[in-house]
Amino acid sequence: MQDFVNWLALGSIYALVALGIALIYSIGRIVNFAHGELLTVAGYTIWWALGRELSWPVTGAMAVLGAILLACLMYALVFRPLRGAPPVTLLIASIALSIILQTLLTVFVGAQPKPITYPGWVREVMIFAGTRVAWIDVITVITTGVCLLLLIAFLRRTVLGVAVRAAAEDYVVTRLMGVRAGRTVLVTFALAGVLAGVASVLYLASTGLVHPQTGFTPLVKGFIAAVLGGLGSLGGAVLGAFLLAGIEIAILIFLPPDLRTWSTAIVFGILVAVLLWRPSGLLGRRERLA
Amino acid sequence: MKSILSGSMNPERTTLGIALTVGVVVALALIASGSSRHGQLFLLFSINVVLAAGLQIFMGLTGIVSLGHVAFMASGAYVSAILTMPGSLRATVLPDAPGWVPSGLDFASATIVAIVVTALFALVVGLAISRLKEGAATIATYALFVITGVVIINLSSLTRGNQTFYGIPMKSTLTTAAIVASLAIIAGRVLFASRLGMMLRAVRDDELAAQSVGLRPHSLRLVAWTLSAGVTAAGGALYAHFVLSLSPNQFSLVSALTILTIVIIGGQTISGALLGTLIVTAVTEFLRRQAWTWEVGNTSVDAAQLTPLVLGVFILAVLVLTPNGVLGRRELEDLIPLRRRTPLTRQTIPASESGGIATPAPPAQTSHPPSPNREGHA
Repeated sequence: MQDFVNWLALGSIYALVALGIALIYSIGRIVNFAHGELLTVAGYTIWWALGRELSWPVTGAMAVLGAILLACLMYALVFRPLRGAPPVTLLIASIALSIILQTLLTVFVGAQPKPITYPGWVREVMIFAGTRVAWIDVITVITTGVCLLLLIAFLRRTVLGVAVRAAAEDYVVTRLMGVRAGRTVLVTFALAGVLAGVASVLYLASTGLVHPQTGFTPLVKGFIAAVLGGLGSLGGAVLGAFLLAGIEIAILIFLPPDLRTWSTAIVFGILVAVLLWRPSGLLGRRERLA
Repeated sequence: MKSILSGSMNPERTTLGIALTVGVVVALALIASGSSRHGQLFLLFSINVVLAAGLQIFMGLTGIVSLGHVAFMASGAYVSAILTMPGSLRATVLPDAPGWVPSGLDFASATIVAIVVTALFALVVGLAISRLKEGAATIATYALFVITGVVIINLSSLTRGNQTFYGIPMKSTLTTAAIVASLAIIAGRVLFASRLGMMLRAVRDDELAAQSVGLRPHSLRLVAWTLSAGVTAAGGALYAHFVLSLSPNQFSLVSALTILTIVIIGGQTISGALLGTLIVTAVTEFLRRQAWTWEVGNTSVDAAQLTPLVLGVFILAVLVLTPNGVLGRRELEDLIPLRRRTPLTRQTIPASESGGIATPAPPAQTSHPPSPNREGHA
């Protein structure tokens, strides 16, 4: 039961990150290596806001806004000039972007980790049916659930959301239909920013620190999750996220402690195995031949 | 010799080009032999040339980005280091190493063994990777990188795990480096210009069409992967015998990205790898020597810290302006314009003279600006 709670919480965070990655991929075949920097910058925004003694709700909102802003800048300065380029180019561009952002943070803010103090009650544990549940886990799961519902509502019920889905499915035809493609892509990036910002607030509770490479681990996990589920598929991203969380927790449970150092290798091994079996991921679209 | 280069449109020109490319390395070696500081720079340069050539053999011929080649560099480094270490030192540094592992080998033998071991390792891994399509393959190479890191840390009887592996004899002299770099370049260029290279380029450019003429993408990619691993391992060996100590964090994503940067900026050929290394080494060294510091807030920033940023901006500029890199698909010799033997002239055939049968007027000797070679050999 304890593991179930851990799994839900871990899977939720992975889901938020993986969704952001999958969204940006589906809109332009962009593998965005710089997605982690969205979380890092959101984290630094939190540190800065807390330094100004702003309240937590405001801080959280600013973190999300910071991520949105950076995401839109990424689009405007890097991905828009490169639109139409082959996926390899976009991938390399995102790697370069990630390096640039990390260097900027290291040089101008400092490589030393900055502390982020969450309110004390967040780590308080309730005993619920024999399980220790921290408030932060509850908040994480509920927030993620709400975000997912809002996202689904947006994508299904609003004109802009439907445009995003259409562009994700077939960019060219969507433009032919008269949808303003540039604006749609921008909105998608902003959405990814929202998800990253929220993920950052929830994720940093576990470490309480932010440094230039903070976003790297969530990036890798989010990637594995998105790829497992199928890069183009949003549902797949969520599925992959909970699957990954499940694998990691299962490894923790079943693997003898002296083999723990192999856990990362095992996860990646499983990833490669899945890719060999289903090259487009579990829920991914099969590539058309021509 | 010419028959090996049967994948090239002009084997004579290619042979010249190979000589030219190697010549650049030799020239730089000669220049660097003047001072020890230049010598150090040349060593770093040639290590990067070998690593870049290794990566390019895979990336240039398959078009797939590999983030995992650092694993082969590490493999080459550790294997060769274990073998060249004198027996007496072995007892202290690697007390738990199995007895049958030889020690005190010379650099050449150790490197050859390292290349073979790494190639075998790559072959096994490549069986999986060559079967994946482009995006998935790149992710798998990242998985390779991570898994290798874990393996290095865990095989501590041979690698000292997380602790520093020290006691490597200094074998990477200027001459050795120049030789290894030249060999790497020759190997890469011969491969690119060979029939095998041509088949790989066909698969790279249009997999479906290549399959329709009977080429097998998986097998071809596997060959490129294995060969590129071997060359990268040689670079790792050169590296190990230069820095004289190894630890897992030297084989990080940062090192992988440096070589990737070189290959992206330079272009998709071995000459591109060489040019990319020149550019990146020049930029890095230039920034390192800048004495100015910049006060920002309460920290001072010096130019060297901005190196990754500058390189990142370079990459973006290259991607926007010349997406295939500075040299694109050209080799060094393609920058030399071809001289046309028969100048083209416009010929008019007066209807009255020909009597119905067109006889072209003899070509006049006009001076005609030479046109540059088309991009690419394929």
